[in-house]
Amino acid sequence: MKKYRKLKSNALLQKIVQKDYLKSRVLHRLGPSAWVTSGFPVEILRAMGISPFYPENYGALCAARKASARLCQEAEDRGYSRELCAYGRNHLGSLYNPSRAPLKGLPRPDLLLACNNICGTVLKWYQTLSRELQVPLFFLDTPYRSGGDNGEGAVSYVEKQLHTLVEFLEGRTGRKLNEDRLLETLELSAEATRLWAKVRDMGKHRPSPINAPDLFVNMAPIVVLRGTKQAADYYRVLLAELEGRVAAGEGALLRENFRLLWDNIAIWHRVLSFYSMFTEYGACFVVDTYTGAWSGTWDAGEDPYRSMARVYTRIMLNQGIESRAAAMLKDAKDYGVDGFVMHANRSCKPYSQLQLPLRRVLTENTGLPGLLVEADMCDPRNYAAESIKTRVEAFLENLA
Amino acid sequence: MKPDKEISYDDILAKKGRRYLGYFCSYVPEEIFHAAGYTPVRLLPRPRPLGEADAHLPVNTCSLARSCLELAFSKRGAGFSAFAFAHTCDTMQCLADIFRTRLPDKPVFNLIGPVNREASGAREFLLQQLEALIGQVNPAAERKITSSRLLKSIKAYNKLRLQLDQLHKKRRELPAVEFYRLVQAAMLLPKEEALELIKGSRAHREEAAPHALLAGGEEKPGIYLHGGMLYDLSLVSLIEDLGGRVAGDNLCSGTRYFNLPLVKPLPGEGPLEALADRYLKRLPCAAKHPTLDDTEGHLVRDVAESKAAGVVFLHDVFCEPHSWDLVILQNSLQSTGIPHITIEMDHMGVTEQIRGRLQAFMERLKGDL
Ligand code: SF4
Ligand code: SF4
Repeated sequence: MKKYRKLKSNALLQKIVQKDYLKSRVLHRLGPSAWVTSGFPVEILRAMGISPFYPENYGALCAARKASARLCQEAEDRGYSRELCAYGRNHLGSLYNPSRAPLKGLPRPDLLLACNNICGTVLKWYQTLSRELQVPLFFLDTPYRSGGDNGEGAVSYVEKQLHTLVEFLEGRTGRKLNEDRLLETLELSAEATRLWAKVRDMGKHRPSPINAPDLFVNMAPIVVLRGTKQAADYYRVLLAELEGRVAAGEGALLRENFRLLWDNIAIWHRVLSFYSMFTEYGACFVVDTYTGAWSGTWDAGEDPYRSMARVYTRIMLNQGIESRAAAMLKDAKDYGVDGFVMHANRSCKPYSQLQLPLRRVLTENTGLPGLLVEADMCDPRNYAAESIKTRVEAFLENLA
Repeated sequence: MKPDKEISYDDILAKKGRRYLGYFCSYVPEEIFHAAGYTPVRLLPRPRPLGEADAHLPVNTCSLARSCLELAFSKRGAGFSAFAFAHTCDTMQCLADIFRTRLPDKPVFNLIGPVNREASGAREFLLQQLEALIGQVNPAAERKITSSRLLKSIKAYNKLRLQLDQLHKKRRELPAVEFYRLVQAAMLLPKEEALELIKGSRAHREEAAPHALLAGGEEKPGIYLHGGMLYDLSLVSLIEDLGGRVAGDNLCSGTRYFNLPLVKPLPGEGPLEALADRYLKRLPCAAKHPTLDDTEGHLVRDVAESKAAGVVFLHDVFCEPHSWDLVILQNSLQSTGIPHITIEMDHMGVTEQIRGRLQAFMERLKGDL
């Protein structure tokens, strides 16, 4: 029996993402391109006509297409430890053996741009890429904001580096950054971010018109099309569909029995089978900590560089445990959840190493039940299907 | 304390009358804490029974983080008055947060300095961070950090680094276990005590044994150690038992602890600028953004300078930064024809398998001589 309502907007989403991909492939032959980390201030690139490609997003795609295990293996065969982040291994594998990689891998870049506001792993990964490809790397250092009072100092430091970044890009590509274009791009980016925040807010309705797996699929534009008109346009369409659902009293699930909070990156290689276990029980993930990571908006009243510096150092994974705990507690309350599920993601240490203490904080403060699932966002070999199924079912039965 | 005896945290913390600061990384500016009246004690990975740390960290966490969290939670760990971190890898980033929130009764300091020493604004940011750190240490410390106190501490640490550097230059004359015990003493004991030990060591008494020679008079094959932390020295003893000698290293608990330059204020500048400059100029660790030359260039050069015949990588499988570098370094040694072997360590001592592999490697090196 059908238990899930499919979003109509998704057909449009697929078209947009595919079109953008084809366009980038062509543009990349005509102009400069770069491989970038998901938290890189891409607005500057967009304003300069440099095409960005996202290896992390490519990792999600490979996992969904069941290619990531063999690509990770390609990297492991060349000496990379199986304990390294699978996005990195998957990407290196696609480089070593493009014939086995979806879309034959990402087009070779002219530049590598990494920012450590999500993790330190990207620094090492991009250093490796820089050596393998002999392509210059710009590393943007966004200090971790925790404990110490490095707020404004860190912002000034990042702001300075953003100016150097522009010099680096201009020097390498021969293109000049047009400040007006930058402002336009930042505004488009902010518009998409505001709309995306509204999309995510829709989960507060009962029943929720959106479930986290929908958010995982629909986050693509906020990541890979940030700073484009298409992103904002798409989110308007999606938002309208969700508002329609709310007006009609329709939820993402045909019957919403429980409302849950999801923590960590999606299990991309099991997006259907994993989350359908929850759908079976009418458990909807009304909120998650992952898809809100791209939530900072540029402040038009401030110098654009300073404002970007502020937004990009405030990425969720770059904040200490206290901010993460506070955000989760707030979400649990605002969205009225009945429990939470944490994906202990073997690949991602910065996301997962704080989960045990966070779980304790959540349980102590809310009394809500929580489940910790050990898996991996991109390496299906780190997924013990049977034991996960047993644990998930036990958790859901307890909720009932 | 004698250099032939393992230094235990029990012994260190049993001595009353001091305020012990457990600190994690060679990027922690010990001088600042020393000037504030703390006795800095480095936290090192030890063989570890399962315990409370497992309730706080996932299984794929490096043994340094796990065993030190265990220590901090233990009865023995109660002897520390405070803890200090320096931001390096993702694991240290998380661990500092766990310490701060799970040990709320103790100050937990964290220096979040630049990852990219060549970034524009890196020095200025670091200076601000050092100042902020002093601002946090002062209210917790037993005495206020003044410029003259800080300069005094800097002097003491410079002296120690110089002594360690001299010892390092003479390591050919010294059993490796003794060398590393002395480096451990410098990291673990009150500095004055450590200095005395080093000064009294065999290398300084000029009565060194012809330690580097085999019975037939030829030079023992030199081994260069590369990796993160080494606390349990049984592996070092094993290298010597197998007829080798440790010629050099690039370890967190070896030369990366004391490598030069010294902390020297430039004319017209103060102690903080000097501390910042050393941070930015020292040999970076794997978690920082190095230049290309810092990584493979430095290794190949250092191996040649130390006249080592081969490299042993000591590797914790759960350590991301070193895992990434390992492939680059292995490949570059491959292309320069330097023999190497990778030993996976979980700080649980030397297993039969490690012994067998190391033995085969040593035989190969001896065959090459
Ligand atoms: S999954 Fe985690 S470790 Fe891997 S690139 Fe993303 S943030 Fe970094
Ligand atoms: S650098 Fe490696 S060994 Fe050191 S704390 Fe980080 S993960 Fe652990």
